[in-house]
Amino acid sequence: MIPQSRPSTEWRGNHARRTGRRRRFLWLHVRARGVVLAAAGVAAVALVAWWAAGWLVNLEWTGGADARVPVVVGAPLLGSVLVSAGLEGKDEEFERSLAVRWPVFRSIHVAGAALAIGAPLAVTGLWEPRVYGAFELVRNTLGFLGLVTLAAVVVGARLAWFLPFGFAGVIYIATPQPLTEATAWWTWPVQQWSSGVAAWTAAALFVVGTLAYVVLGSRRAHSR
Amino acid sequence: MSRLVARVLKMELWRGTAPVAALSIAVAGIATLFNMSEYWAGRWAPLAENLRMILIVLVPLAAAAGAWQGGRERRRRIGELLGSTARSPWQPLLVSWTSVVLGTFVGLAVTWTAGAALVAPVATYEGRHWWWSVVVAFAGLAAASAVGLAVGRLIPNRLVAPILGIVFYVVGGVATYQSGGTQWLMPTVSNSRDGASYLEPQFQLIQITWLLALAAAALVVVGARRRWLSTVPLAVAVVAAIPIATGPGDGRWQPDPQARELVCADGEPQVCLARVNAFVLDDVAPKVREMLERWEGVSGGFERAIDRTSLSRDERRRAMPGNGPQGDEMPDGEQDHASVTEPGVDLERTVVLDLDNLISWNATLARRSEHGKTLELVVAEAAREAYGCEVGAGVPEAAWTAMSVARLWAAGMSDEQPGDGTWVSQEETQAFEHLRSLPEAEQKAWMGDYLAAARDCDHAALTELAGELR
Repeated sequence: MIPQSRPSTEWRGNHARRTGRRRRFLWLHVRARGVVLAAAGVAAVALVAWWAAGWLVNLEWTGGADARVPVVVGAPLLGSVLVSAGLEGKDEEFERSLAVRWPVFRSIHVAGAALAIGAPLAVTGLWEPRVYGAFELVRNTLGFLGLVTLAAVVVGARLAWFLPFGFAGVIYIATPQPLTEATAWWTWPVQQWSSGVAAWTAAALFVVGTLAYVVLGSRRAHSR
Repeated sequence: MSRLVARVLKMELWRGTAPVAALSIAVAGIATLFNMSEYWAGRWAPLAENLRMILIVLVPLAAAAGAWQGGRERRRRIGELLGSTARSPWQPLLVSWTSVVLGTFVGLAVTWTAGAALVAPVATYEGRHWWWSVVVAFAGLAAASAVGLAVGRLIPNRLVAPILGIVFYVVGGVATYQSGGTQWLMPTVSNSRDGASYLEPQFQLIQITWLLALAAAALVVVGARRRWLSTVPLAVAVVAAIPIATGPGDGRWQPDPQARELVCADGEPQVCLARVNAFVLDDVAPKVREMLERWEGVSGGFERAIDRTSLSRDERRRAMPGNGPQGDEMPDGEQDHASVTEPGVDLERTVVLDLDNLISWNATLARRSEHGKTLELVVAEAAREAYGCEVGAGVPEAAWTAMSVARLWAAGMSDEQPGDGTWVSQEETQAFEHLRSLPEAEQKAWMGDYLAAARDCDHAALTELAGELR
């Protein structure tokens, strides 16, 4: 005799079907958002960043870890641009009509992207991590992701790359030298970890961008 | 140009990426150019060189704009529709590219004009062949947008534009790290040459040929029905690239004797600047003269000041024996120029004026550079540069103290730190206070002894002098 507490065969069948459907939905979602391709791209970026950082530091006339600024700015920027395409579906309007808790999906999406970019980049920058290394790579990952998500809310995911791309290009060359704390609120990508303002600015951008994206989602195509 | 083509081009200009390209290049260009205005204010050739420097940011923007334009037909799913028209594929492609190029050109022209508006009223030297550098900058944007357009057409992905932009950015960055001829394959230049050197027009013509042939090859690959035709511009590009890549790196810069000619202020003591910097002579001369007066009565003291830009490598070495051209100040391979100082001029008693960073955006003398340097500190540096041995680990601590005290005295400093990044220790401050408390004649005698010991590289005498101030 089957005990009362044990689920019936019918229940177990339904549960298995539901789990299977959920897994299938998740896999379809991951494929539709180009997550696999983006992950492969991020892995390639991390490897190139690793090589480039070593090359820069070992140039005859460079003075140590601070020669890695181009990598510290470029690698998180490229990682954020790669994941930006996945911030909206092919048909955002249609997706939103599904009975899916999109805010949860969106927050997992952003958190996953931060982890997927930040973790491998941090591993590549562990040498002198506080002097243009792991700490700065993680900070810039969060800052650029914040800019990408903010831009996705305002102009849509397909053009979300433009904001961090243009911003990074300008500040890289327009930052007043020597670096000071007074300008850190807008020159945060090139600042050293010792700049508290830079770290807080990047963190604030990440929080604001993520919140806006989680609540509002990417701007829909028809309103563009 | 037929009326129809003009109409299509006008529509492309307004509806394509051209307005965004023009705006982003103008904004990024002006922001970056004016951020480094101290390197070009009042000088034509440095303006052109700095325009080439900021291409490291502008070329990726042009490439991204081209790639975004190139992917437009696919994004709007009108490729088949366009294919069914009676037009050859190269015609819409050429119009499309022309619109992007015009957009980027407008952005760059606005940037250059903004700089030129500040240079034109004050420039004291018209420069030599710098306009070729500006033409190369425009050719660079044309090539980048053509390559971007081709890649955008060939690779079906929305992210092609930013990724290509970042790739261009990395390639441009790597090129500036090169010391050989390959650096010239990119339209960017790694650093500005303070207007006292120039690039030969023939060489810049080869660069323009290389860039335009590359653009043509990229366009033919995606626009022509017979793709093999692209081998013709490609061959031209390779032929032009070979002498560029295999030629010298920094050795391409030729000294410009006219730019380095000395222009002296009326009166004594002599204060002279290079012709290219002479627009600040009226600001510089009275202040420098005031500081040179401090050396009157000091045995072996300084009696004139000359712009560093004018001095040849050998002259710099003689004027600053322990601190002469080192590291990247005069890169290997860069050609030196002939002496401009009169024979018999005692460079040992000459203050070498390094006005780097001391010229403000409106072409006047800045009170303090962004690195904290002032004209007073520049002039006072001569006291430290009098030290005749190579500065390094072997210098005794007391000699450092003596050099620092002499510099503070020459700058007329009081108790505060110089503020230029150099740090004066407690011991040095006390020694300086001791020197200042002495009667003026004794101060000058100490400075005379210091100069003699420093120039002779006499560590024992320097140690003794520092000991006198304990």
